Formats: sequence, structure tokens, C-alpha cells
Amino acid sequence: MPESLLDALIMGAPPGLLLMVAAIPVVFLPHRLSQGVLLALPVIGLYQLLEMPTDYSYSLQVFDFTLEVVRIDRLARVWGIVFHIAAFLGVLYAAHQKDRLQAASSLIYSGAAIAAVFAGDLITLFIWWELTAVSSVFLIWASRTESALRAGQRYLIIQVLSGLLLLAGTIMLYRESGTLTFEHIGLESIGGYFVFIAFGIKACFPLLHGWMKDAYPEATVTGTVFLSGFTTKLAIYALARGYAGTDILIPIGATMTAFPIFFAVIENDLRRVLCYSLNNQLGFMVVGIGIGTEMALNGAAAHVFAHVIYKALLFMAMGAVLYRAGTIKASELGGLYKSMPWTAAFCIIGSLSISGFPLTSGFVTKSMVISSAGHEHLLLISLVLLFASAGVLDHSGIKIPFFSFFAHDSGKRVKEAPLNMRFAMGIAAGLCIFIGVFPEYLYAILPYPVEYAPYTVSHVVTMLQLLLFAALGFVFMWKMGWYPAELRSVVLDVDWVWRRLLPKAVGGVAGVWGVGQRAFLDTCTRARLGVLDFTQAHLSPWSRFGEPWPTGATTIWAAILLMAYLLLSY
Amino acid sequence: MSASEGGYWLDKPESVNLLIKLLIGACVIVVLLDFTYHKHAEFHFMELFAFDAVFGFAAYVGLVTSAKGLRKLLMRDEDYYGDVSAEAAAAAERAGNGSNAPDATHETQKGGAPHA
Repeated sequence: MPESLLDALIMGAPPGLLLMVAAIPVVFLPHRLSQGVLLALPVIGLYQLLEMPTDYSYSLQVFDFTLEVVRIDRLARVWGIVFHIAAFLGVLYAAHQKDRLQAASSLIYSGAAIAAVFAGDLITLFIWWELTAVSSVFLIWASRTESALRAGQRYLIIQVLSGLLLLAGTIMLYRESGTLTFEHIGLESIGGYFVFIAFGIKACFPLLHGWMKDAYPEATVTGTVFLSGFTTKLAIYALARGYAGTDILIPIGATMTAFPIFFAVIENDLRRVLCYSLNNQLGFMVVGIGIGTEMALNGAAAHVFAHVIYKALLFMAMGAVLYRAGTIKASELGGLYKSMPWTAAFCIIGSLSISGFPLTSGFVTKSMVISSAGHEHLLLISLVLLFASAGVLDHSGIKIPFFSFFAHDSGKRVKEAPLNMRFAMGIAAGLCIFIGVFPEYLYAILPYPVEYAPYTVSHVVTMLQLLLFAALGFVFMWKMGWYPAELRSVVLDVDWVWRRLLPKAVGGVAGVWGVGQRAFLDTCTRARLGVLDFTQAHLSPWSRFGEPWPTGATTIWAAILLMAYLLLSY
Repeated sequence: MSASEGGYWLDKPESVNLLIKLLIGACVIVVLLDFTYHKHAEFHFMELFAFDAVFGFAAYVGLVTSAKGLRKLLMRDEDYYGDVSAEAAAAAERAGNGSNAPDATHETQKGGAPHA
């Protein structure tokens, strides 16, 4: 172990720290210079990561605890690499923007997520876990609208809650086992459940997912691109590290693949549609982690890698539409391919990738998860995943590009997306195709050796059958007029519980309290008035008791009172 | 506006019909391909002729139809929660960067402005 502080700083600096430390000073440079440096940071960070050994650990002694502040292994490395790529794409996409708050917070957020992936103990994980929450909320608040402010507050509360559960679980686990190391945790103890729920909130487990579809669409055009990349995938990493092979994750993940897509079909805000689609994609990863075989974990990791890129691409395309057309509501859009052809083309590549068409990244990664479910003879799960794959084609494959760029011409004629946005989308689209055509490069960095061949005749043909006939289903329903029209509306989801039900319930309790309070005060008032009336009626100068009494009568009354007093004292 | 643009290929109904015909043609081809190889799937019924085609179509139509039904239960007015979307922010950002505001967005910006 190195002795000097300088050694500790150099050898103990986790990947990602550079992004966090440099972010704040860099944004105060002149705009062009700062954008250049910001772009260079993820590249340098990635280079540094790739240069480091794939098996590296650095620990610090803090009081009685040993904190493994850096742990690099093949599992964490996959996330580390793709997070650097996502940070680079995000910075490039946002390069036109002069908002220093967003630039700094997005870099700190990216860096914290990268550092979290390389945390070897639960305390270090907790610190970075909370920093991702606190830094990312500014990307929502940066919209500077009333609704974004409120959505950001809700988001922050839930994210910090997840962190507190993680901390509580960590303490319990430490008391049981005496170690803070972040390795397999499992559901054998209460602490394990706490940590599981903490991860589950950020991974958008069913019914814990409301924060994402609530907050992400409120973030800025560029903020959502960053948000889509890190928080949820960090949680997927944490699950893969701590809960691989935990059976309950299989039904949880399968529910995640199927449950959100119904909402995606009827949601009008296209960035919110992408959130549901994101949730659906997380489901595939969670199923892979739950199965827990080497092939399934490889599948989950590979799917994370491909997903971060095509999801960022889709959010970038929809962000560009929002930026130029001023709206992202499907009901208001259409025909934009005429004025934004580049964005439309990149968006279609993203849509093909997420749907899993052959020669795109989704095909070579999602199928690993589906195949491993088949290998384990999980019939119901396999069918759900197949159903969800057909469903992805609707919301991300068709709905996103169709209603924004085609469908009914909205008459909007806007400028094409700024050049930096087009470059970012172009690089992401290129990566989607590159991974799809040359999957061996991705397979080479996966945690375990890969013996999976995606391009078999059987696999290509069955996937094409599934997707093309689902597309035929769309054409059929559209032509028959059965496809649900896009309507200006909101679709209720679990966030309704804390946005509407709880305030109403609190309002109800306050109401009942108010009614009770009023009744009590009314009674008091009535009683007071009664006493006043009584005294007025009987004791006022013109009443019987109030009028001047003769002295004799007074003496008699005094005698009676004295007698009563005497009697009572015996 | 579209008259001055000279018309786009996709605007013509026959182009759309051509695309649909191409899709149908592709569907026929991928189903016929089932005759040419030995299908390998994890479950025997998945090896049936055109299983994925039928499943894909049925899953799609079933999903969209049931989601449509879900609207009756879950759909509310746009201002149900009493606040506006991020669109106002996007409009402000666009204005802040000095790019020309597109002429077609007036009506939508009205909808997204923080008037609530």
C-alpha cells in the first residue's frame, strides 16, 4: 500500500473523478474552449480506464473501516466504458448550450456514476450513489419551469430515499457480517432486502418506477440525454453485482418488460414514451441478472452497453424535435422528415436498434437474454419476453419516428437540428450499426467468455418474422382506423399516488380535522353565548336577581347559605 | 406551404401503398423461408411453421387494442396535475441561443407557455 498522500491521490483516484473535479472550473472558461475541454474529459477518462489493468484494487483505511475506493474488474469495466461513451455523446449533443449549471452538473453526474461502478465497498457506493441523485436533479431544475421544479423535488426525495435505504441496509449488513465489501449480497438477511429495495427504486422495479416517467420528461432537451444513460444503468450494475441469480428478479424483470409498454402505446409525450420504453428495456437486463448464468449475465451487460447508446440516440432525436418544433407531443407533430431529414434518419436507426432488427445492436444483445431464458426452460418468461419484443416495435420502433417525422403532416417547417446535435446522433447511430455488424468487439469486453452466435439462420428468420408481422399489425390497424389516435392527455401511473392521492388524503385528513375543529369551536361559542345569555337574563340589573334586594331578603339568603355550608361541612 | 415545396415522394398515396406492398412482400418471404432450414428453438411449439409471424401479429394487435381500452381508465385532461410540460423551457432555451424561432411553432408554444 502506498504511503504518501500523493500516491494515494494518484493510485486511489477512481475513474470518473477527473470528470467531477474538472467540471466546475472548466465551465467558467470561454464557451468554445470550455466545450472543447469538456469533450476531451470523457475521452481522457476512457483512455485512462482502458490503460488500467482489468483487475485492480485500491483501498483506503478510514478509522476502523477499509474502504475499497477503486475496484476494477471485467463486470464493472463494461459499465465504465459505456458510461464514458454516453458522457461524450451527451457533452457533444449539448455543445451549443451556454448554460453553465447544466454543463457542470451533467459532468459531475456522469463522473459520479462512473466512480460508483468502480466502488468496491458499500460506503463508497453510497457516497457516489447519492451524488448522482443530487447532481442530476439540476438537469431537471434547469428547465426552469414550475412543473420541472416540482418534478425535480419529487425526483430528489425518491432518489435520496433510495440512498438512505442503501445506507440502512449497509449498516445492517455490516453488523451481521463485519464487512463492507460490495460483493454478492442476496436476500438472506434484512439488510439484504433494504439494499435490494434501494437498488430496485433506481432500477425502476414495477410500482417503484413512477419517479422516472415523472421526472425525465421534465428535464431539459440535453438533460434527459444524460439522465437516460446513468442512474438506472448504475442500479442494473448494482443488481448484477449484488443479486445475480436471485430468482425473484426473473418475474420482476419480466413484469418490467411487459407492464410499461401498455402505457407507452397511449402516452402522448414522446419523451415520456421513451421513458416507458427505457423501463421495458431495463426489464430484459433484470431478467438476465435474475437467471444469473454466465450467458445471462453477459447478455445483461451487453444489453446495457447497446441500450445506453441507442436510448441516448432516441432521446437525442426527440430532444432535437422538442428543441426545434417547440413541442414533443405526438398529437401536435408529424411530417418533420421534410425539414429534419438527418434527425429522422438517425432516429430510425435508433428505432431499428431498440426493436432488435438484424444488423443493429439490439439484435445481438437482447437475444442473449431471451436465449438464456430459453436455456433455463422458463416457458412463461420466454413468452413474455417475446411479447415485449413485439411491443417494443410499437412504441419505440414505430410510434416514436412515425408520429414525429411522418404520420399526418403537422405543417411545421423547422430548421434541422444544430450541427453538434447531428454529430452526436450520427456517432451514436454509427455505433448502433457497428455493434450489430461486428458484435465480436462488444463480446470481447463482456465479463465472461462468450460462446454465442447471434447470426444463425433460425434466429434471423424468426426475429424478422416477429418484427415484420408486428409492423404488419400496425399497418393493418392504422388502415382500419383502429390505431388509437394521439390525444392531448395525461396517462395516470403510480406517481398519481403521491401527486394526487396523498395530497388529497392529507387534504381530507386536514378537512376532517377542520370540520372537527369548527364543530368544537362552534360548541364553545354556543356555550359561551349561552352563559352570557343566562347571566344577562338573570343577573343583569333589570332581572330578578339583578334588581336591588331588600336588606332582609339578603340576610335570609345569607343565613340559608351559612346553614347549607354548616350542613355540608359535617 | 406544401404546394410551394413541390410535393414529397412520401406525400403521394401510391408511394405509401408501394411501401405497404413491400412490407407485405417481405412478410411473405420470411414466412416462406421457414421451408428452407431446420428451425431450432428452445421449446418445440416455437418450431411450428410461421410461429413467430403469428405470434408477432397477434401480440401487436392484442397489445394496442388492450392499451386502447386502458385509456378509459387512465386517461385524463392534459392539465390534470395543474402544471405544464418542459416545452416552455425548450422554447426559452431556443430563444436564449439566438437561433431563429421557427414560424410554425407559435400555436404550440402557446400551449406550452407557463400560463397555468
